[in-house]
Amino acid sequence: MIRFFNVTGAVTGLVTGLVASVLSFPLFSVADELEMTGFVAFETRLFTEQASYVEQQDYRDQWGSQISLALNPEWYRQWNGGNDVITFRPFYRIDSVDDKRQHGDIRELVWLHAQDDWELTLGIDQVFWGVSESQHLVDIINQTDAVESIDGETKLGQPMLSVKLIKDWGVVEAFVLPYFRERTFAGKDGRLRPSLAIDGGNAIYQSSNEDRHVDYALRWSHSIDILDIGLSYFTGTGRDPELAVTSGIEPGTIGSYVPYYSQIQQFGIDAQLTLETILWKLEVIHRKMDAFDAKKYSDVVLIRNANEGVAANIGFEYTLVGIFETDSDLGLLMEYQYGSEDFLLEAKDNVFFGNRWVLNNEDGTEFLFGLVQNLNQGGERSVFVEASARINHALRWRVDAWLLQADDDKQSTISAIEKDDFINVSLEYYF
Amino acid sequence: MNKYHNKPRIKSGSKSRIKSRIKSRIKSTLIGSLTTVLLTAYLPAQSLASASTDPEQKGLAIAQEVESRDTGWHDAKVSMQMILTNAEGEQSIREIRQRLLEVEGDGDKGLTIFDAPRDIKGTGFLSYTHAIDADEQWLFLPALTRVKRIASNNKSGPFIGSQFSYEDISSFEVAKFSYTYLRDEDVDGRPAFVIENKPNYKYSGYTRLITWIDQERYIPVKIAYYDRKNKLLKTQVLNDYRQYLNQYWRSHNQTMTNHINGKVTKLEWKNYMFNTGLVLKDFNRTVLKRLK
Repeated sequence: MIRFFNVTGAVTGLVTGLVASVLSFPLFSVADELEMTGFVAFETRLFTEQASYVEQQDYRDQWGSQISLALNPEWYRQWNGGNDVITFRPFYRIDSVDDKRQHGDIRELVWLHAQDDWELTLGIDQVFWGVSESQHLVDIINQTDAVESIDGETKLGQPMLSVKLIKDWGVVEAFVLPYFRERTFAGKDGRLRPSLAIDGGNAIYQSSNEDRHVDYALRWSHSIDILDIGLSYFTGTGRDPELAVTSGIEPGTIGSYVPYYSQIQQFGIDAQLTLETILWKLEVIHRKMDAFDAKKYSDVVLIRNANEGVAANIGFEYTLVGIFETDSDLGLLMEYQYGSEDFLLEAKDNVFFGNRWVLNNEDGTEFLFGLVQNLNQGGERSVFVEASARINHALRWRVDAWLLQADDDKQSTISAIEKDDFINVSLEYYF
Repeated sequence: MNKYHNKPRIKSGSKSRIKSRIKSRIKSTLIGSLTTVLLTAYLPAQSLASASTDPEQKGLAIAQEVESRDTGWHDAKVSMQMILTNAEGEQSIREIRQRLLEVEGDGDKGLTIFDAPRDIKGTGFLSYTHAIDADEQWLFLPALTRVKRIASNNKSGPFIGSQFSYEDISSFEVAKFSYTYLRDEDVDGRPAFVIENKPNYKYSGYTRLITWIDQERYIPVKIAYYDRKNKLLKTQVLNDYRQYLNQYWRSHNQTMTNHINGKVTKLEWKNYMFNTGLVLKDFNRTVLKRLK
């Protein structure tokens, strides 16, 4: 985050200006309201198996635990009848084990202005695209804050200037993304990492502008009766890093993993058909990466099988309303994850089964059970349960449990973290 | 937010609009003859109500008059507090804000923003109600900054854990029910029509509703809900009606009592504002992210 503030004078100025605007009343004498909300979450992660790698702090313990505290306040100010909005949402996590998981971010610091049939967004914002539940292929604006959650749902704030046109024929959004956010990775003490911790601080880029390469994105989306559809295009620094390997001191050994960020072009389609009881969901992307220049980066080895490919996620969500003569709803989800051969995306040829059980009670109790099963490697799967409910008007408990399994004789993303099954219990206080 | 209010349909005031309303009604409902519809459109309902002897025609005529008197308010903003009480007397509170837009020739559009409980603060619910087609609904989840289109078969499910279901609070359309006039009866010393409404839509949680319509103001003062087994499930009482723009009555105090589980949900409305300048674009799904 410190590095982020040093990017350019322009960004620093913008950030300072927006913080000042949010926090100081006199700048906007017509301001309607300033609200502070947000949450603090106290969290403990319990790993059920002994750690795989010696640097991991709990390597010798049968049960490893990791305690952390997350702060997520939000200031929200609107004026001009809600047509001008400023949101400031910083984030910080304190972690007992992993100094890389102890991190901060500006999730949002953004001014949004709406007028007639257009909207302007300036600042750091969060943008979500897509319809699928088991993975988010089309979603590309924000980088994943990977130390936050294994499911990749948490994102880092993305600096942007965007313009949105709202017309009868749909919504068109154009984005200029002047600064790139590097993905976060667990440190050497932490769990849920490969055999060597990923050296995120020494990331390498195809572009000589590194994290200051200006990226662009364009999206059209529309809602036509039962169809919600979006077409998107992105050009710039790919958000998903590839892992390059540096050589160790001993010949033939691995020194470290460093993320490599290529320039990519990506087309995406997302569509949902909303019928009375069933939702059909589709996401497809075509991604083309620039070739890796092995001469330029002669000190690392990067194995890539293909420079372009297609990935798709297709599935449905069927909801049973009022099951067992209660107020509960049961959602049955099934999705298939396709990836073209040799394409870099890891999630391929998987089937996802999910059950979402919503009690519709006063406490807002919810359960989500999921299974992602690889169809080629019968032993590779991940199973998860998420449960949460309100304790009172300000407190909510949440339990997430993950079981990770891989075939012993094959290398995969899951095999590296196979021993990292965990139960995460958190208590969230909302203010 | 009750069955008859906030729920506009086709505007009155111009003959062409009335004609289109007649047309859609002939197409959309099998109940009522052309004569009834014409009479309804051009004659004061009270005279019709007293003139008609057929219970179905009379019931329909009363429902149409309820609708007609509540047409033309254009748009509104309002806040609401929901007090949920369980059988043990424990209470929890929900707070929401709503923006409503009357739509000509169709159901209205509604945008609901949740303020409490705090863990769902900033959640937005956008609905486009339709007279015949399934409603369109989107949910904005602030934690994921994600707008999700949701299925419309959840009508019978509880609205944020309360005793009001989505269908209890969604836009009222004449075409959604078939009507039978039952009798006249006093409610709190005021004469009311008692009408039976049978839902025409497949995913309703009810076999029928019995509604008590105030004869002078044409507003519902009490509604009894019968579940799919035709057993009395809930009763709603609507109190503290106040009039806006010299025409439109709004209840500021609605109480829903569930007779099976003993739970009660009370809605307290405040800060009703009409003609606030809301237009169609204020109900585009893009606003969900902006309005917290």
